[in-house]
Amino acid sequence: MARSKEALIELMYDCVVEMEDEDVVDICNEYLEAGYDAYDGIMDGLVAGMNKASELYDEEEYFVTDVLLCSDALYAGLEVLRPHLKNTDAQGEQKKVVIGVVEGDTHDIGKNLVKIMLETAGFDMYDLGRDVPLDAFIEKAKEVDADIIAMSTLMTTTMGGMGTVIKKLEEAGIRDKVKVMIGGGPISRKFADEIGAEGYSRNAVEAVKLAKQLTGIA
Amino acid sequence: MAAPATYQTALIACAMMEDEVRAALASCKAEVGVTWVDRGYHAKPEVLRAKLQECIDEAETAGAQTILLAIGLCGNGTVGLRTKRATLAMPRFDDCVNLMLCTGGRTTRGYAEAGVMYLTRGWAQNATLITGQRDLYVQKYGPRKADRLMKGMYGAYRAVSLIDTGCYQLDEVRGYAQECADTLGLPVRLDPGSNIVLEKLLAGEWDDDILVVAPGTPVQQDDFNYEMNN
Repeated sequence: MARSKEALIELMYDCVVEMEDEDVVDICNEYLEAGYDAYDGIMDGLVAGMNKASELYDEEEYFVTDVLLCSDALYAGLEVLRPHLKNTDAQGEQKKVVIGVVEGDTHDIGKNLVKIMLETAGFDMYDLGRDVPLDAFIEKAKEVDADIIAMSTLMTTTMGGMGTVIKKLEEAGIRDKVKVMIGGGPISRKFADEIGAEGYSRNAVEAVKLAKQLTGIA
Repeated sequence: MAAPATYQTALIACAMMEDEVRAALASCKAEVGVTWVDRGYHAKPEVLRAKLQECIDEAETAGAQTILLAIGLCGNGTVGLRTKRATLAMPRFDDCVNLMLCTGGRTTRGYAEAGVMYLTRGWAQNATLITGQRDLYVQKYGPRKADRLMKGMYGAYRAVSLIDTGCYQLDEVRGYAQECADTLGLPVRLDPGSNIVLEKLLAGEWDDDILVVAPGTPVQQDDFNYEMNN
């Protein structure tokens, strides 16, 4: 007997939470073959599962390795469902985000998660990777006419680079054209205020809400 | 354990730098009561902060007038620490790696290079051994996911470095460094380091490398800033 839409969505959710990056592909295919809506599957199944994984990490139930494997399952499911999204589903309205880990730091697990979550929410992501030279953020933002620059770091030695990027945006005369959001282990709202960043988020789930707020979507 | 009341100066030190702290103590004339804090708290700054504040309070209760911390900013684990009456002094460095790589006065904020796994004897004794990491992942997640995690957790490293602080026998750690490097497919290199910052801390030669915090004032993240026009 064919499984219901709700049952399959629940299975997608479980696959992400339980790091099943192979099973999730089968579930997503079954879901599509049954003619169910891709957007609902992504948001209520895959993304909801990833939000749960983030919660478990915040509660110290999950290790960073668990989160990494959950995001693999999320990504595997997205690969299947995303091509079947309707144009009207894209909430991010193709707002452009330049994202990267600032120069001197290579810790990119958090950045990658934020990238996936924003991408899923419909943002156009330009990922500069890790250990990104500060000027590269400005150059890329100019090149693609970015709405947001999103920066992260896990280290206190490199967080100053975020303030430098904001100064460089001012010097380049594009400070008013782009919003800056930051995050990472040692980063706080206080630090964001000090360097003049518009947004700070504690985790990837909050980063999506923040990016929507900053671009006037929500 | 609180520092004995007979010591006016209490040192609270991270065991990660045990070799370096013992060497600095040997060249320091004053008698100092030492409290060791387990290595590895850098991954849990909140726990580190609580542990250190407890040690500070105990040392003050025992009568210490000067409290030295042989520990850095360490992921903000020392932000918010304060004494009631004692003077607090600590290295003005983000962590022990940056501190040990500084061979003179500070000329920059960060000395550590991105993508380099730094080792000393203390770090080599750290609980999380890279060489056994894949086996642990295999046990928990199976071989396919273990390989993926090794890439995700360690893929950014491009070298393993031994910091020569002059406080331990390099030969004791070379084998381990090579094993780490072989596990991750990386080269091993030797970087010059020094123990000058801890020596200055213990000797009371408190220049810009040492952060001195007045009683009642909390340690702040901004205290560790380095301006190029310093």
